[in-house]
Amino acid sequence: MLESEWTSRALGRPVIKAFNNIVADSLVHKGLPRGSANRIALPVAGDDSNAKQRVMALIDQIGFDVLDAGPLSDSWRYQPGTPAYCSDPTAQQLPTLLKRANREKAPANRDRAVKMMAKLPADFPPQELVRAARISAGLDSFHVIAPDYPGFGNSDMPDPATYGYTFDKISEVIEAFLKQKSFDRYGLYVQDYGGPVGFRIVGRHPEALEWLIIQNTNAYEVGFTPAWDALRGAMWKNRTPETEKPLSGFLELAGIKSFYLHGAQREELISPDNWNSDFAFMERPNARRVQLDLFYDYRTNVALYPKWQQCLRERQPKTIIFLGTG
Amino acid sequence: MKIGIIGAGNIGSALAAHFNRVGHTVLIANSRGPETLQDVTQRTGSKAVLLSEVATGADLLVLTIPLKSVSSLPEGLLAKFPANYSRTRRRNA
Repeated sequence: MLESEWTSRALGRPVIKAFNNIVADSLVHKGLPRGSANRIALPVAGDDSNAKQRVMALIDQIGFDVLDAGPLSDSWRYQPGTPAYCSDPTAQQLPTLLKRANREKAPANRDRAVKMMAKLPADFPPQELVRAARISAGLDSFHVIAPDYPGFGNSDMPDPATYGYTFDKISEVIEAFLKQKSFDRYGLYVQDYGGPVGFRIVGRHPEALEWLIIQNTNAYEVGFTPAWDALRGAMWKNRTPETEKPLSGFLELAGIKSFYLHGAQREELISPDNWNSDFAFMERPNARRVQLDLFYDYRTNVALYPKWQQCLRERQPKTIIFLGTG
Repeated sequence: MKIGIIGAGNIGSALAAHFNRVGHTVLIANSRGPETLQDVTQRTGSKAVLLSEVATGADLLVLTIPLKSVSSLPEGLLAKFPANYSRTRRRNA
């Protein structure tokens, strides 16, 4: 028996079930006049049709479309763990979501969501939960693009003698690529070199940034570990074949492999395809020169750190940071 | 119409404000008594009453309380609430 059926029996009155699948924040802020685009639709269930009609009229009056979702016994279709739960669908979207509800799987979905929410701070923005519900219900989506930089992976590798591999250059290429693909709002997932590339783009277009995921990339002096000494102490001061030499190990199979395995607790979980394909790309003519040019150019990032820090302080994007010591 | 609301949490007070805004008379009650609802009534334009009074003369009674609290509602709460009148409830589960 559903909770609403139990309640009806316990109190000896017909029960109309509504508002169980909308977060309070949406209920307060997202009501709209009838006929508005994107007006949220709420399902209403009950066994007393007169009472249901009155409740439906009332809900329309306060700013929401209404859908008759049948008798109370059907109202499991918008319980926790179903696509219609807290995803703020429109009247067009709601029927499909109700139809897609899976009674057997809903409790497990609900328990997973409860577990996830228990880890969130109390002031976690409720609309982010709605967004998560919408994405998992298939109402919202976003494109993921992960371009290879010039000189990396499957992208072209122009001749370093004339191209000039710098972070400025790479960031301009990626910015132009985003523009060509018509992305003017985006979240950035920046890892390692992605930081200096991404922060440059954000510095030029702070308004475009919606959110950041930062994984092992640096915008602070304190982020330099002793592993950087060969760069900072020698090559950045005076680039010669001698100062390049201590860095060459990073560009060979053992060095590349160590990037993946250093600090890994269970090496067998990391696919050898990673370093094998990296190394195959590194074996191309000029590839090592490109990497050394970028090692050298990395010094220009340090001078930009204060600018990026200021940009982050002012923009305060929603951010997730992963920073490992391994 | 006259609407009674039991439960003055986020959902109960949101509904109170909406119902008041569109012209309904809203009575609101919780288990702790009307004196604990000053903030809510000021924000929502509703009137705080005792639980025993919230259903009196109401066209619609709205429950915005946890399921487990339903069985501890006072006896006789619905004595003056006719059996053919509607009642709406709201729960997360």
